Amino acid sequence: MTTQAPVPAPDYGCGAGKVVLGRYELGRVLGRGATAKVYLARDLSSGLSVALKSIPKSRPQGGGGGGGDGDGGASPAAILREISSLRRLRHPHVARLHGVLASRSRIYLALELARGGNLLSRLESRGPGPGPGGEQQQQEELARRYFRQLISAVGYAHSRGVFHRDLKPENLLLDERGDLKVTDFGLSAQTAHLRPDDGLLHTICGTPAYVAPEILSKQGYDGAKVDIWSCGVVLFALNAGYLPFNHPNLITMYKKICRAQYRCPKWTSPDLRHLLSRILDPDPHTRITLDGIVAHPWFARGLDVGRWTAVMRLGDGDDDDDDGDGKDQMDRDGRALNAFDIISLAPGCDLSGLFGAGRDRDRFWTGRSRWPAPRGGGPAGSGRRGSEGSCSRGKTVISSPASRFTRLPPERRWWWSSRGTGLRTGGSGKRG
Amino acid sequence: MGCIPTKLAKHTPGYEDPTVLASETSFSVCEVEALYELFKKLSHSIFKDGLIHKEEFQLALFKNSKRKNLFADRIFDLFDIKRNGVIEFGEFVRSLNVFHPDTPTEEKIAFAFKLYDLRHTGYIERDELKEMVLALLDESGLHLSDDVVEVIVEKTFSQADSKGDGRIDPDEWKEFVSQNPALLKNMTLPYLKDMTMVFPSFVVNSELDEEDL
Repeated sequence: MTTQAPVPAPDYGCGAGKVVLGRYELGRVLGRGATAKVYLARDLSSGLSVALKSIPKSRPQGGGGGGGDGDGGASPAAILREISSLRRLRHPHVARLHGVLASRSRIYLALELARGGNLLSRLESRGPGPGPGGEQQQQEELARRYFRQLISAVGYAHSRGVFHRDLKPENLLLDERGDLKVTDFGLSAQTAHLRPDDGLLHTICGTPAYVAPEILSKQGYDGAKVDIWSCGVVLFALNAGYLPFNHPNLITMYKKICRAQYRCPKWTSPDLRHLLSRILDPDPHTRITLDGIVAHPWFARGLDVGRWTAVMRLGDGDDDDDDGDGKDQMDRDGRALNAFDIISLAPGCDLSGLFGAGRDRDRFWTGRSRWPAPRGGGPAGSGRRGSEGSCSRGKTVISSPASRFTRLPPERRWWWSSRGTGLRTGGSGKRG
Repeated sequence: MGCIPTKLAKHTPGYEDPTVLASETSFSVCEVEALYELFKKLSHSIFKDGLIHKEEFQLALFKNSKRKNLFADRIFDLFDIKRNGVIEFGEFVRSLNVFHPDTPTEEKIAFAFKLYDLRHTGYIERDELKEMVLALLDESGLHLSDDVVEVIVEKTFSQADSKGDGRIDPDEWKEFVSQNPALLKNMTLPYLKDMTMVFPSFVVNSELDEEDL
């Protein structure tokens, strides 16, 4: 099963069969970037197959002042940023980070494996044109499907302050079901790295054919707007089977990009033409926003809004736990709390303090504060949010005026209210 | 194994080989290495002798070395397997392993039982339970009337003490926990499994030697 992924040019030459740091057995090379190499690998402890990205660490000496790219390596600080942005993303269309390892010279990121190859090879195998038999409608439906998944992933990341900045089909992978997985946040920048004066990003990066005009003209740019532009290029390519801006002469290509000179294939529907013109708008200020895209008739046609919203909220307030924790039957049943339930809340039993003197932990726990109050019943719903009492590192909250503990949805938050008899847990959505 | 520490220089007293600790626990060698970084930090916060003293433990948990706490005391005592008043590296890793998500539930049940058996009698007694409830309420700034606390303790005992002899033995505890699995929640630290991601700085600064690919 490890040989299925349709990746061109299998490379068994180096490293195959080798075990990295006692944890991952390497398979073939899946891809190479400027500095990084990606291997198919198997986690020996879980048997899980992953894409293991191996990045050389930059040597601290020389190299012109800490950019981190002087000798082709990446600085640990830059990698830490990448990890911290990836960690925050839990989304069906974002390739997930499973783990991080390092040796003296290299850092390894274990990423979710997408076995379906990338969107680029899918496009290339299809070639330009409306597809065999001219089934234009079908083609447009497929473009809509991938584009929605892309916008879902990008919108989700943006809402968490993570920008990709290098969106292109090579970074858009497909899993075995043909669903999109956006990968390679290696160049992503978080809002925290904006230069303070104008709030704009200033690093030049990205692949020419997909980059927004404002990057080419070397102005500072807004990471969100740049990603939207790239999504537009991807959308164009999905529909047309070729790139909107392409010319052997780079200068000519840049000119076309800056003037947004492209030609839609004749079968393109009017709605899609309109959407493309709104996304591929050279002026970032008037370019459509993500909300605008989602509301656009071409995008919204047949969209399951409820599901869309649910996906966009994934992982809110749940920065650490793995999936299993959500299914806590006991709480939903509104079962009475016993003395041990109370004791198990003791801050003294909470060892997270051992790990966190630093900021790492603070960031780690901040998600807690975003948990919504339970709808309907419960003390939070009755406007008593202000009465939260003692708080141990944001995890356990017990409010003071008393006679009832209520646990807010994704555990670890408890309410103590004056109503009711005895101690009970409160179901997340229902009136106790 | 590619994980061979190169710096043989001065380890803390009680240092144990990460490969050995990894083989006995759910941690990988690299995770044990990361724990060693953490251990060195904790064990040098006050006394700088490479052993975690109770004050250092309290400092880490509460950011206050003088803050006494019933539960932290108990946890410290359980971590201090050799009962010599300090936590050594091996004890640290083996004890934390109880909190690993992959550790069998039986070990967590047993650890929780020892934690709540305040006076090491082999039973959780009614007055121990009441003492713990009062301690928790007190440190939370909550004051319930004695009656209410009695009712809670009484009710819990009626459920847990199936033999009705006024104390909870290990079998009764096991039975009670299997009906109330949420009680073991504090015996699992989910991120011990993702330690390399939650604490990447421990890993990224690795000095492990490994031939380049």
